[in-house]
Amino acid sequence: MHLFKNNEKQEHTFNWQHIAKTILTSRALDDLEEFDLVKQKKVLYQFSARGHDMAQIMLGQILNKQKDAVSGYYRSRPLLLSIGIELEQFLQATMMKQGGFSDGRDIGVVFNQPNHDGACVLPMSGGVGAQYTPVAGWAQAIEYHRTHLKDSTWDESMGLVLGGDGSVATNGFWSSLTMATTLQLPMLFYIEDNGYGISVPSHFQTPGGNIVKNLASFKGIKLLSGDGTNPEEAAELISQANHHVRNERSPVLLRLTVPRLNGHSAQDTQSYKSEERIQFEKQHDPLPKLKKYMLAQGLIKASQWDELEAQTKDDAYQAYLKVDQQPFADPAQVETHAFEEFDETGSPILQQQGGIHLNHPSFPPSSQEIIAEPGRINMVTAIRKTLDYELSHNNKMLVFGEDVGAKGGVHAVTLGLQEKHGEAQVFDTSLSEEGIIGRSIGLALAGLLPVPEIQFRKYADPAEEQLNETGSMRWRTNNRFAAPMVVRMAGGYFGCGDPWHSQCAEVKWVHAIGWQVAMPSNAEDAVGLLRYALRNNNPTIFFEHRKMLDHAWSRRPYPGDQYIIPFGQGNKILSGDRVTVVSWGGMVHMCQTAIEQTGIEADLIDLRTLRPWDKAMVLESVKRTGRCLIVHEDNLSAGFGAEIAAVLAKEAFFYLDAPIERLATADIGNPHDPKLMEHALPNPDSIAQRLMELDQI
Amino acid sequence: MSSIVEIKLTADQTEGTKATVAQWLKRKGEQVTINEPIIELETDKVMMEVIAPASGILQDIFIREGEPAEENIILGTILETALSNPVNEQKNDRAKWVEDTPNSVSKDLPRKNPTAGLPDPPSTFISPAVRRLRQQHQLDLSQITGSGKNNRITSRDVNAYLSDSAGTSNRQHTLFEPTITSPTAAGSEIIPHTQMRKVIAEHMQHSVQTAPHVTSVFDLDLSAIIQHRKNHKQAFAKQGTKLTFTAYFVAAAVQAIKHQPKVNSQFHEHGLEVFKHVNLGFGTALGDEGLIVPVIQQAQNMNLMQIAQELTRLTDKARNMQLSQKEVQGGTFTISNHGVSGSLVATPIIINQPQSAILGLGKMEKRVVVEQHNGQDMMVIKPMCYVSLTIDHRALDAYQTNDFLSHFKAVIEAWK
Repeated sequence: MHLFKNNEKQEHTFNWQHIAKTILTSRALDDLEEFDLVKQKKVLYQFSARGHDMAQIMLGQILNKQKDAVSGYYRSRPLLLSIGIELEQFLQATMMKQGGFSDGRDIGVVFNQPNHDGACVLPMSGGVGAQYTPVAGWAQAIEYHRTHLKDSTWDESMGLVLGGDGSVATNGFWSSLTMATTLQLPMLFYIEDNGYGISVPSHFQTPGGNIVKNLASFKGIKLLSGDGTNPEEAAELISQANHHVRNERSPVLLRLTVPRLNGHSAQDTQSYKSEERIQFEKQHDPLPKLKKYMLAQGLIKASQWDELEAQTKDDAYQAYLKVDQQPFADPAQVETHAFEEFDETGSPILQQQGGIHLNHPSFPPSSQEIIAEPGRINMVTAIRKTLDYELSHNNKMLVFGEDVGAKGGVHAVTLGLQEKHGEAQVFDTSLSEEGIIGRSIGLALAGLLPVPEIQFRKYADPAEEQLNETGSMRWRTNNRFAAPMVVRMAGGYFGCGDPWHSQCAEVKWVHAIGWQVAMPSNAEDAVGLLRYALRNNNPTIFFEHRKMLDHAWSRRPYPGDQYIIPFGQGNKILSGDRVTVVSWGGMVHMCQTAIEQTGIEADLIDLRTLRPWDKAMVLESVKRTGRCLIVHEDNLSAGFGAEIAAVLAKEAFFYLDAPIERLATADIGNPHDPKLMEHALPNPDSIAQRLMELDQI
Repeated sequence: MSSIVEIKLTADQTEGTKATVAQWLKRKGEQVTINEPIIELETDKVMMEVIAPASGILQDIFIREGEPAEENIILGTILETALSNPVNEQKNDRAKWVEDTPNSVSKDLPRKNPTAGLPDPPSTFISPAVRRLRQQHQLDLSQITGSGKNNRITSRDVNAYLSDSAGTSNRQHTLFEPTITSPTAAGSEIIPHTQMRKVIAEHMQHSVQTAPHVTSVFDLDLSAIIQHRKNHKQAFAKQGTKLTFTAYFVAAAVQAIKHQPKVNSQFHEHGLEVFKHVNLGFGTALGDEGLIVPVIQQAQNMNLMQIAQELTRLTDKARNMQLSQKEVQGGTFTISNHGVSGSLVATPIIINQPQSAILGLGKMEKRVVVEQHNGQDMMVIKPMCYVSLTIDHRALDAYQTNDFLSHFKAVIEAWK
């Protein structure tokens, strides 16, 4: 069934010879891998695309603008073949050879392809549904480049996302649908409906199984639906969709039904499909339909078709033989590119796509020298001033999140910024953290600097998948892509606490792959660390401690618009030889109070950043004092203090004169009642007591 | 009594899907334990394991890797033998570990009490930092008072000590022992310590620090045993046994211990442990290298011949550096025949910890002694030697000491 709105028929001229060659190539690859290479264990994870291929290949042909981008999932190879990625590269990826999409680090069908001059393939995720919001971010970036930065290379471009019928149940789908329609983004949702998500039928994913029917009254999106195995019909619908997105600058959802003519993967025997269903699918194989159509239309001769079939089979086999001889990825390199790396001359080894550094931006001068203005400001003001200055000097920087714009943030940090810099650069978002971080990926990959806000640390939970995809991106694409961004998160104790607004749990991002973590305790450090993060080529979690945002202890004179603190430098607040106290964030001021209360001569080290952290400073101190107390607000078990203690136990073992001690909150949530909270968290008295015990043991 | 056990698939392993033998985890002839995985099966869904139905030797493999494994087909056979019980050993180890670990730790629940304080150090605890400083500066920690909890020595104490020492002298190194320099000395050479030297040094120091040493000296007329030896030497030699004077001393010591058992003991805080057996160690010099003390186990039941045999055997082994751990352990009393290298008396002979006494025999010499014959004092030439007993005065007094020595002397002098 088709649904034509406004009865448009806009024709795109398809290259049928190319469609035929590509689908035959795709089938040849499927056959080669599934029936030969898997058995030889040269390919370990294998996904064939028979049935999906023809429509995808047509779709690939419409991606002809300079700043188009596409993301899909594990069955998207035909589209990638269609946009011109070489045969060899696909086999390098599935056969885990050097090169390919990830140099053996990711499975062969998690695709990515950098391209600044034509359709690029955004790094896909292994998780279904995660492909959507990054494409929405790319689409938003297109409009930003086009309308705000007035860069005409972005004209007419679009973001295309492929998903199966199963993916319409995912968070990412709905979040991106919200963004695309509320923001009117040039985004094409292509849903290939083969009736199954592995073994689960489509009526589990949306009632009745037809997402287009169910979205009929959804505002702000054009809906198209049809048969993806009918060459003429598919071509027509794709053509329509293409025209609408590019010209109306408005989203389209195109659903085409296709058969999945093979198992989900090489391991799947499809025992859950009835014999009737399998026959039905075979009858809807687009390949014979295409051949019939092309012969009937005089687009190809039978002998040419046969020749093409033989040639593509041979091409595939020759490519395999070539790749088979190539070396496997080098184990000695496997730990590289978790973060930005530098060559022998100290120059960065830049990613091929993503972030602002590829254009070698010239930032205003920075230094570690403090040029203080008279009078002290709190951390809220300090962060705001820094964001303001950087926004003024970086038109690729965007600050956004829930309530960030008009209200100026629930913590007042972004107050006045939208008014000054405009809605294009400082804006509110829909209530979806998956959407906030997912779109940040797309924005970053499109050459912008996203500065998303997560209103409270706990609310990063729905964003966790996209945060993980961000952090791991550089490593898993072997430095082809990176998505630097600065994620501002508020958390920690306040006048009272509670399990939703007062979480710290910062250690989670130290443990994750690829994230830098900064947790300033005061206004001066906040300025330097934030500025460093905003000019750095790695993703950063910037933790804004709720209590310290406006705490008297945290107030400092503004250190100047040039002030920068490189990550990995701790700050020694007090000096002494008897004990080392290490802390960060909301506990630092309490440690200072405790040390001064007891009169014990101690080193007090404020780490300021947890990844990287100033190991050298801590080691020097502990080797001198022999005694170490670590104080943090996060829960004790496996908190970051455990990592420090482990490092000390190894690298300072022969200098320890006392057990390494940690003081932290018990393994519970943060309590709401202020009295409970005060008891559960470390406080100056409990710190002082533990400090004295350590000094006297 | 071994039986042959067939390896077959279980019912649920064959249900529904085809299975192939992917890998045999054991080879023919290899030991297998009951319930241990021995075959990996591949089905179209998952890998499954086949476990050994019995313990023993994998005798035959009938279905090879890559071949289908079907219901009722015998895949292989096991020749059942007795269990070697590694499983039980593991259980015992685990039981011990659970005993040793306090309850709260073995449950691994989230820590509910992060305010629990620091552990209590023993007063004698030497931290890694103190250890390092001690080694670096060659320190004797007994010179340093501890200011830490339970008076342990902290690195601060050591550092304070070092800066004091450095302050009071212009020495270049902060060694505890003063180096001896004299204007006429021709310099010195450092002989690095062998392991044996280090062990001896530690043992001697420890012994002296532990036991208050007191020595009592008697002398012995060896005429009787000299005569006895002369008469029996050849007969012993025929048995492959060297009859030495030490054999007589060992035998006599055993007698004297039976008479005065307290010298064959170990001093404890709570009481004196008096042994019922006599494991007699005898010091054996190893030339310039040092000394070693082989032990004659259960000497209380041995006659002279047996003692002499055991002495011969152990001495040979000692000279060839072939003594086993067991042969130098378990001693309850020690004899030092120091006189063979010329000393008349040696005192104190350092007690072999944790024993209570050590017997020393001096050089055999013909001496003029005064004897009374027919009421007249006469000068007589006798083969004599001094015998000493060095005791741990915590355990023993002069009474037991001299009682022992009197009896020892009586046995030796009356030997027939």
